[in-house]
Amino acid sequence: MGSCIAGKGQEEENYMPNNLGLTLEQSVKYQGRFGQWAWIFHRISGLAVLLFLTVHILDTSFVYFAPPLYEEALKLYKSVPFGIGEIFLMAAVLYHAANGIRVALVDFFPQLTTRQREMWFVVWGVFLITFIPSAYIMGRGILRSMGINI
Amino acid sequence: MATTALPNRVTIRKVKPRPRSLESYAWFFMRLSGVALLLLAVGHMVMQHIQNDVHNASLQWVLQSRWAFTWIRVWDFALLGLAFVHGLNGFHTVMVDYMHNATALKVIRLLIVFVGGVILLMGAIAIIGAPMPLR
Repeated sequence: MGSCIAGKGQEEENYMPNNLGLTLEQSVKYQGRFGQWAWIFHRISGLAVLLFLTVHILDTSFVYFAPPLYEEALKLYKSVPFGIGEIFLMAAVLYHAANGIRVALVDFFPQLTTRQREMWFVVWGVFLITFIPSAYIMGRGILRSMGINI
Repeated sequence: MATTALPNRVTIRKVKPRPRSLESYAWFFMRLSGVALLLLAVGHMVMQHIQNDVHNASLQWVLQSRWAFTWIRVWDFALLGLAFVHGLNGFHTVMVDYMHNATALKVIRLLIVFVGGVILLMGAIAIIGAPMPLR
């Protein structure tokens, strides 16, 4: 944004999103409603899963490269904060899977574009039906590790 | 258009279809790998995080209860390749959206290929190279 040269024909050029902050701001301000939210959540969940996946490939490679370090990594995974992170990971994977299938279906069967709203609700239905029992089982595992049996 | 003067003339124009771009293959890969990951990644989550509890995991457990079975190594190998390449390509898409500096984008592309390649290789070596337990 910085320097703006006043003059005809310059305005449009200066509006080009050449700034990360502006791009992020506009991608949230854009009023695409549920489609826009589906896209934002898909992006965030994808990046979150990639971050964990990168760490997880490296820690699993310790099984071969540095077995004692693998036990150390597992100790970290068994801690409560990582346990809570694991529940978020499950949420990210399940949402990304459900929404990703919706995206692929719309891409390969264009007639489904008239059913976008219904598909968005189905995505959330599938997500909640699969996530709630998973979170319950994983949460129970964390509580048990703390000595609380429910 | 002088079509009325020459009613029976047909013009045939040969058009070469444009070659598929690398990006269109990447688009197709994202859909295919995505569908495969519905089984591989969600199945892995169910096996590892619901059926098994991370609190029971150990080095011995990985070697004797998981990687002792070839089919689990094959599963993990497919999951490693498809999930990580799917993720890196998704990261690339995000970077193309947010990085407006051509040089920075080039650096990020190189990092994705080389850092991603090294991590992928480390994972692959571990899955193939970890010893089978003696039975």
